[in-house]
Amino acid sequence: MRTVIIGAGEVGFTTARMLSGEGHQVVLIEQDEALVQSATEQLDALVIHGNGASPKSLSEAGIEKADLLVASSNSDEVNIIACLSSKAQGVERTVARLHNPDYYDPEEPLARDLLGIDFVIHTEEMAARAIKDALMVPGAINIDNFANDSIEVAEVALDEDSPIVGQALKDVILPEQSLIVGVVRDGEALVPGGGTVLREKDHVLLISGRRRLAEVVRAAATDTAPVKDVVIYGGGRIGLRLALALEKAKMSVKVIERSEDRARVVASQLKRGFVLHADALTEDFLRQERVDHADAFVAVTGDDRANLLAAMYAGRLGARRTIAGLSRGEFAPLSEALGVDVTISPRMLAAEAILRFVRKGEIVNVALLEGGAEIIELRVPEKCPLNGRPLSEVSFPKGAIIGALLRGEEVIIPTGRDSLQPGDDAVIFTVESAVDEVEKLFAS
Amino acid sequence: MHIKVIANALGVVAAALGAAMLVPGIFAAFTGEGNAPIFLVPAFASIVGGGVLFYFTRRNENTYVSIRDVFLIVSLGWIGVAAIGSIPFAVSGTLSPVNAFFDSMAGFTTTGASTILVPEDTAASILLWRSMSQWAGGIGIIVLFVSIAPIVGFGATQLYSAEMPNPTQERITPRIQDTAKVLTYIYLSLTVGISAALLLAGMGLFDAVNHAFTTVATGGYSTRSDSIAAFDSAPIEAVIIVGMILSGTNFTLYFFAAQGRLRRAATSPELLAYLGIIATGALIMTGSLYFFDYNDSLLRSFREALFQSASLSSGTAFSTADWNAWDSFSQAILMVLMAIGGCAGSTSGGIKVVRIVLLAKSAAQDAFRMIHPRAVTPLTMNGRVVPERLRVAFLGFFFVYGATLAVGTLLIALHQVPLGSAFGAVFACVNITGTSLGPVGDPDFYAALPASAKFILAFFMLLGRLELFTVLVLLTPAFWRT
Repeated sequence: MRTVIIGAGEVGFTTARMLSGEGHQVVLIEQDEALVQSATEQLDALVIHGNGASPKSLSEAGIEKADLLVASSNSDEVNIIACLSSKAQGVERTVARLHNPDYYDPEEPLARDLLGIDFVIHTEEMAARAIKDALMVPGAINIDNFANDSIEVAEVALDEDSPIVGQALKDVILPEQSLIVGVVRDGEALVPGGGTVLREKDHVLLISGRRRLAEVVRAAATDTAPVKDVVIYGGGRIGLRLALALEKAKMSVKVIERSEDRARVVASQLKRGFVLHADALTEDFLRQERVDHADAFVAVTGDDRANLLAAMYAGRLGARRTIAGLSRGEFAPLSEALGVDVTISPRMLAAEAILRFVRKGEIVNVALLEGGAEIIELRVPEKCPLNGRPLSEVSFPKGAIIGALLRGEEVIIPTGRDSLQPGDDAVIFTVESAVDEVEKLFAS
Repeated sequence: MHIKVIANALGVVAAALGAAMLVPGIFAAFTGEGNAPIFLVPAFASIVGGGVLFYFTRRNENTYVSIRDVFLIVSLGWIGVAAIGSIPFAVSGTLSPVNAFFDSMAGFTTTGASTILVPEDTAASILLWRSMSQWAGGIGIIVLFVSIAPIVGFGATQLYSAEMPNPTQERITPRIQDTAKVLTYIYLSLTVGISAALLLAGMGLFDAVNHAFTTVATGGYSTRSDSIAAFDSAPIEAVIIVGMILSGTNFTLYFFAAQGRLRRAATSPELLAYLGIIATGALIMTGSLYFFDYNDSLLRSFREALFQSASLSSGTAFSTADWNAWDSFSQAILMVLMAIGGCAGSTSGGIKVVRIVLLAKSAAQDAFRMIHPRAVTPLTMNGRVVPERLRVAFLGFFFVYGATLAVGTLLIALHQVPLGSAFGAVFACVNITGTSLGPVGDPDFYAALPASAKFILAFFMLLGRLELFTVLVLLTPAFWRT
């Protein structure tokens, strides 16, 4: 399969790496010379220096032979033009990243047809939703949904007071119909066995049916009081969307914004929440506005450094949970050391969404985790070699585990006695090295 | 200042007034009461004079109307109309010239104060003209505040300017004319509707038409000394209540409804607040009247309270009860309702509900910012941000409103009128109700005032009617500086 990707920024680069890793023939078009250089060095892909909206660059990239176009440059207009001209050249599927809600209204899907875009990636929207999900399940730092939201996976960071720290997995008592499918330890993903002893700072992945997740998380996490007061630092696209979503979820919201004009825009859209205009986060100001008593502090300005530092500052003052949005990957490893509870990467979310769209057919859904691990949702085919035999008897790829099955409407957290049946949706945790093997097993 | 433009507009107004004056003239001719000439002569003079003035000041393509012209036309227009409109009252011998001017101004500003002692002893054609003066003043106000003010930028209806189609230099005149036409239809429909409903409710034709005129204008002139109480009919009261409430509603909303934007009209925060205020006022007064033993029937208390609540909120000041005998608390509520008034862009008076709503919001935000000094608090109305300029304008309006009451009271007290009545009279005139507590509202009270006090009150009616600044700007040196 030939894929043309416009833009070698964070989203384009990540997507290119994943797709070329899966055997796609990837061509990247990038305007910035430095990015061209680094992409050429790091990717197994053809990188062309040029304007993604120009027909010349597109034909140079072999657009007429391509099956897929991913337009992920920073310019909405370039992305739209690229999609339109690719459609005209017969490209079957197009994905575009759009920022400006003027171009894309989820309620008004007509715009998609007009703009020649099959799948719109709205990173700000996704980021806002991911943060909201994490706040709705207190204790979890990340939530992923599978099987049309009937199965959920929560990532919980264990601290020293967690009830399950120091226990072997076989001794951990979780509510029924739930399971620890994976552990990320020191940035390394592993499938735990019954003898694996959980440690402080481990990130455990808990899977369960919908609506039970909060209860399951409570068994593993320490701080699970519901989140009511949220302070959002940065009233940009993510901040505003998040504030509106949290208002809808009946939380009380304060937005801190540096630009006075933007503050007025945000303030005019909020109903019960309010907006504070502040150039600098002085301790005095933060205490005055009771950030030290906030249930959550979410830093989503456009500046990664500011986000990390503000989140850390708020955490030090006493905010219960801190979340930082990181648009680039470079500082993500620091978050834990800085005491920031959750980082949200719009870049990863976008890549996830693109992957989901590209793999549509065989793979229903995918979530990317730290350490290269993935949670993938696969449809069990007719001729799967594992069908019909109890799971305890089949040989499943090492480094992968079936976390949940959706059979019809029923969610099953499988034990060794359960077996796969054709048509099931299987939610599988897998470390990076086992991804291919798992996919082959379920290939129809 | 463009003298030609101003003269041209005043010519149109004079001719229109003359045409209106034909109606009572023809009525008098048909009923044979002998008053026909006192209407028809000034009517024709006004039509011819206005027409000539209009003809010789015809504008050419590039005539430019400045904001100053608009302000001058509006104030001079109302004063001129009141002067011409007073002729029949004076010439018929019903009133002295000063009283005639006072009544005429009270009519055309829809204030409804009067020096006619006993309407029942007055010629029918004169009563009809009195009602028509309010009706004509009402349509003038609607057109001025709904179609002109938002574009030029004065009055509380500026808030709605963003929702009207975008004004551009060359399209401004046709737009005003189109809007005015629709508004006239709405106003006529309301008048006809109320007349018909009053007829059905059992009122005679003459009374029904007169009361429909003064209801839709929220003016409050009645053909009876006892106002609506004279009819002692629940159906008639019900019709008048609905009519007053409808007339105190922002006509911009009817305009939206006529354009098919019904939802937008029905969810207007100003409308909801207005209805809420009337309902709350009615309920509180029902309780108060009953509890403080003015009425021993709860139902009767409610009937009187609801009528008076709608009547004073809309600034109509019809009455079905002698509220001077009411308990103090109910009286106080009545005065508050009077001061708040009806919706912007209606014929009602007072400060206007929309200003009250926004002033209250603004005050709440001020308090909020005491606790959160860095909070950004844009003022919003129906999801739109109110420009800061308008917030300041509303605060300024509120100050000027208070100052106007104070200065007016001083001026009337100078005539050695008892202080309570002096304040009451100014309060009644600035709020366009024509009536407040104590003796104020009785024709004898106004009739007994010295001539200078009458002129001062007439001026305060004009101030209140044109929302203060529109008139006061003429008194600033900056207006006359070129």
